[in-house]
Amino acid sequence: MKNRMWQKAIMFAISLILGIILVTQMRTKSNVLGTVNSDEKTVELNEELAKLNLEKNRLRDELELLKKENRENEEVYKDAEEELLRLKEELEVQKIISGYYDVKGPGTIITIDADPDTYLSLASSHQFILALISYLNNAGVEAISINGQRYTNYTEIVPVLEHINVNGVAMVLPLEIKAIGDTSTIKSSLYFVGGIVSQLNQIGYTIETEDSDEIFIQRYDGEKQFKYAVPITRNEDI
Amino acid sequence: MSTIKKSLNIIIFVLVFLAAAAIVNGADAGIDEYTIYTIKNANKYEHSIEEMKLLVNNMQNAVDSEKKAIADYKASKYQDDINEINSQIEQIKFYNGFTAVRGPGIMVRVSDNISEDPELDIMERIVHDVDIVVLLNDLKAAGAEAIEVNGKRIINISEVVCAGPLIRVNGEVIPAPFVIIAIGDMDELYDAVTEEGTYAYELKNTYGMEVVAAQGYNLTVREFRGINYETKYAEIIKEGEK
Repeated sequence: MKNRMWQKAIMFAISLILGIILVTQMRTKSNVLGTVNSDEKTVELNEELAKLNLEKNRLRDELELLKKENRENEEVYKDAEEELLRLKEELEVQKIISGYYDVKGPGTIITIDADPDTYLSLASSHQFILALISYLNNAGVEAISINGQRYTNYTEIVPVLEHINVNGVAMVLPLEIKAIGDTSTIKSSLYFVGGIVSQLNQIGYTIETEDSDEIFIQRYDGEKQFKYAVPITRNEDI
Repeated sequence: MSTIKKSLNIIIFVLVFLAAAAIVNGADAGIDEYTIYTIKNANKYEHSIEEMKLLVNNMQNAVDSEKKAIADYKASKYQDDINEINSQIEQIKFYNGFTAVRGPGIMVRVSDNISEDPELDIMERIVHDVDIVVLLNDLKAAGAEAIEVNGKRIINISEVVCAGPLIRVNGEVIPAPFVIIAIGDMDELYDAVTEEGTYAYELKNTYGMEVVAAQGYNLTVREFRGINYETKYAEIIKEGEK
């Protein structure tokens, strides 16, 4: 009886140990291999990797092309940017010359007057005013006005009776001529021996010059219509 | 009885042994060296795939940013701006005399009085800078749209000044005879240099200078050649400033 009990106990123990080993083995296997077949999985992974590799190569080629295009663009646009800047400066210079914009800058104010007792006809001395402007231009001035009238490309100084008309506006003494430019060059261009100032003094005018760090010159308000002149395009032979 | 029992025990023992062996064999199920290698490989693959995915992702981002840069360049309007400013410059240059023009007008030739007239001082027989300046002004007053003297375009920043026996215009010296070309109304321009009482008439009839005027239907006046003219002192006052 006792012997039988032993036998049963041993059998139970062996079964238990076998059961534990079995379950442990099964678990380990499924942990390590997963639920799918390892060979199949390898093939799948291989395929995915190959696909990714293709994608990577495609992107690399695309990136190279795009980078090249961008480099070219960069150059083109850098040139364009520089060109634009240069053109803006050129336009600014042309606008200043045109006289259609208010301008300011350092320069000289020249006041032409005469003693009230002396009789001087401004009309008959208009050539001296023209010469004065010519000598101001000789000094490289960039803007001139006569009693507020901007001297433009189409400004004429016309003697009328005893006065002069500038841009069609009548003017009498004193004349205030403003010039923007280098003040010392202006002075030396006007004041040399036998120069325009001494000529004006000789016929009885008084000239005063005053330098200023900032002179304002108003724009010309009129308009110029062209009826005869036609621009010659660059390709045309002159 | 005891023999039956003994043999039964032996049978059970054998059965349990077989079962254990079968279970162990089944549980092992192909885990050999090759399997382990495959598993390691699979892990490696997975790792590579992760890395590759990251790389592809980064590259995709780089491609996107390059594409955006290209789109930005395309959207910028440099060329439009350049064209716009260029047409503005062309217009203002025409006005300012930086463009060669053609049209009807007159040609005037002025040169010194070469006769030995004892009544006139030598200085009175010579064409002076101021004579040219006044003639140019008379032509402007007669509506000249473009003027040149010996090929030098006269604009509002041109100087016409004495340079010894020569005259300096636009920084270059020119000798007599002075040939002035003006474009505008032919008759008005012609009258401005020929009618009695005009400055040109005086030069010719009082001072004996040679003043010859001729009309032309298609004259050419060259452009001002200070192409690189720059302003250093004057600047435009912007709206609202002052």
